[in-house]
Amino acid sequence: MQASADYFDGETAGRREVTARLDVNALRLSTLEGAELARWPIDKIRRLPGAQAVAGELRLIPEFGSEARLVLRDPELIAAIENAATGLNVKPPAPRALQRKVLVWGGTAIASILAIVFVIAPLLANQIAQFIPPESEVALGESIANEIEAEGVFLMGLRPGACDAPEGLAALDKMVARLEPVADAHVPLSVKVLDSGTPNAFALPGGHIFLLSGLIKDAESPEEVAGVLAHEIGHVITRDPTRGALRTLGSAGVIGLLFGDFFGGFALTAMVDAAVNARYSREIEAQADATAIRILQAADVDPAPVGGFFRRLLQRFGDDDSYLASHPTHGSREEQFTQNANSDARPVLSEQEWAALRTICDE
Amino acid sequence: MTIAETNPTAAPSDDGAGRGEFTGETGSLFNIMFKGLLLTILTLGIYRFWMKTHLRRYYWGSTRLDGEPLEYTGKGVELLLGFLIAIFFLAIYLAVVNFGLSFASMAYWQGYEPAAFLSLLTLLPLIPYAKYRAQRYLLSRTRWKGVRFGLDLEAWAYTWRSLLWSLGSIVTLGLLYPLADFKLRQFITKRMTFGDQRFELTGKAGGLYRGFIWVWALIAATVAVFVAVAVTATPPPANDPFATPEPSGPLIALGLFVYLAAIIGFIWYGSFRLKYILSRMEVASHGGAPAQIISEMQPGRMTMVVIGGLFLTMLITIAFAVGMALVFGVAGAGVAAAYPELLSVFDPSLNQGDPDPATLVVIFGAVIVFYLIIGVAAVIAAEIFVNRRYIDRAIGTLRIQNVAAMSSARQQAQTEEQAAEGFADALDVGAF
Repeated sequence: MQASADYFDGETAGRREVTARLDVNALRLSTLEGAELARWPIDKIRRLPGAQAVAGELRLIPEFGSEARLVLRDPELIAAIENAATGLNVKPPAPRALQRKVLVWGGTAIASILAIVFVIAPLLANQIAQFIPPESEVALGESIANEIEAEGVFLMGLRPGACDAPEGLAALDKMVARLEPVADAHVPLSVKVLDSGTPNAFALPGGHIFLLSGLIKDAESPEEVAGVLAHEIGHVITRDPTRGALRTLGSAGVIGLLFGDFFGGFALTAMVDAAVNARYSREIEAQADATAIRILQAADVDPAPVGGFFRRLLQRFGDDDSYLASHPTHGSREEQFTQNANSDARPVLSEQEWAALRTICDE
Repeated sequence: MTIAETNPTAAPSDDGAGRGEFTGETGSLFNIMFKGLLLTILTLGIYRFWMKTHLRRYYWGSTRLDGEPLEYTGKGVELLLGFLIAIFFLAIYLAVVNFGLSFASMAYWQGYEPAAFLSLLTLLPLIPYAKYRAQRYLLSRTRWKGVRFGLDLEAWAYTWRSLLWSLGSIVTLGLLYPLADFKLRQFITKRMTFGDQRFELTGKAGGLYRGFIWVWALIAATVAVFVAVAVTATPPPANDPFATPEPSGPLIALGLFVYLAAIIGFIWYGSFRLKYILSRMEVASHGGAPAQIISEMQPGRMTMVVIGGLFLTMLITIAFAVGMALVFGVAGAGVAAAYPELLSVFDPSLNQGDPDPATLVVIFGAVIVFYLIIGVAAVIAAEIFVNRRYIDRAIGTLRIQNVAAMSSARQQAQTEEQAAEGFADALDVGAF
């Protein structure tokens, strides 16, 4: 069986009209004058991979990898070849070498991103944090603080806006004024209360500290609040939040790369999230506790009631529970603060002031 | 909706002019898009490399010049590999640059915003580089009549030219743009090959200005009118702190009209430019007269195709959004009736503690699925009613004069392009 066909030899782009003849085990191509051009073994012939199927047309290659093409339009010859060429519709072999490369490069890419986020960024952040001028720390913290105050943090149940009942603010200022001079931080402190049921507090770079109203409601005395505040001041002094922000900033670009975010929208969100959900190591938390006790002693505030705060946390949540999970165990913290009891201490706030602080979020 | 009226089995024309025809069917395009988008979503984006490959096979294979279709020989796994290589280098680059800049930014400018901006700025040179490499990959994976296309490896030479021309265009408020565009296109075209034959872009950029100046004028007019709106707005009464300036109504209407005209002009210029550049492309043969590409597309009709397609896409998307809103609304009401406690998320008075995370996840999940369905419908509609129709007409009005000159093109060695278009993909500046 034979018919005319269009032949491209893969060497040049010239179209040649040829005679295609189907033998027992091969497709023979010859010029119209009869000179043989090529012999394609029938078991190796394949349909051109990826070609759009077009009725009345069959595009063939002699074998995978070949650059020669044959276009048949004769219905009988097409039917005969579709019948005889058993491997016609075999799919091209999987590109094994490429797949191996994908595995190697995929592993390398993921490893490098993990290394940047978990090793290089924290290391560099720790080194660089010491060289950041205090004014820059304050400015950085302010941009994050403004974001938190303006937008709130929905998933944390933080509503926008700081609490500002005037008498409560006065009580808060009195408490800060008692601790700030003896704390001797390298930046001025800015302490605000946010309305939230969660008993928590966090520090941002540059002395910006947020207490959540849930913490004040849970506390049984102003000394407990002062203790938590002193703990956050401890973080400010050792610049832990600044390290965290730098680390996030360094990682944000790399992570943003994966999600196609080059405009830094992710960076701010990530920094707010990192600041609010800061997880420091137990050593860092223990050091902040030690600093807190030093500050309380120097300010003539009794650290022992802070122990009561941790005892209630222990009773409510048990140890190693979600609240500040990376912190030292509540039990050991209770013990540390209680051991440093100071019976000669002066109260932080009067009864009225303490009542005012507890209602700072009420309008 | 027009199905291409073509005769796929047409014998090659003998009048020496290789005509273009587009034979792609809407049905197979829909299948590629639907399956592709679904798998892309399910694989968190990884399948997009294979979807792109299938889409190109469709468009290439449906494009017949002188009776022979183009062949796309690229593979999805090549694109994935290129993406991974690009991610590796960009991650290291960004880690170094971001850190240096974050520190400098916080130390000297007291904020992180300059760092984010500068970090973006340092990526700018990579964009033309990535585009050039992406085009090189595309051409190296394109065959016609069994012979491969190619592009010389001169990505950095292209990059600095592109940066200088872009700077010039910005400084001249866009007036230099057509010249810059033409010169850069010429740089690439001169380095394009078909086998051992070389492409050429002849002529001058001057003719582009005949079309561009109208678009430029419309954009300038839009800016002017809106400046006028701001300047002539009646200032609010001083005693009312909540009043805003009262802008002039007719001026705003005029501004919107000019703005719409500028957008239409911009779409029109896209086709005008394409026709201008295509019609000046030649493929040099060995000694003889070159093969010349001629585009007979009518920019006005192409503009109608785009606008009509966009309108249709919008209608389909809106129809889908309304339908989905009904489905989700009924389903949501049913769930809320069965589990009334879920509503506490929306009503703080019912909610004493923090929102229940599981409920939030379910609600966010439903919202995301809702937008994904509408998004998929919009993307498929745009592909079918805008891109496919545009390409159909652009190919259908194409001719290659003296196409016989290309018959003598000899196959050249395959170019290695391991990073494929990974950088272009990672930076989101794909060539196609």
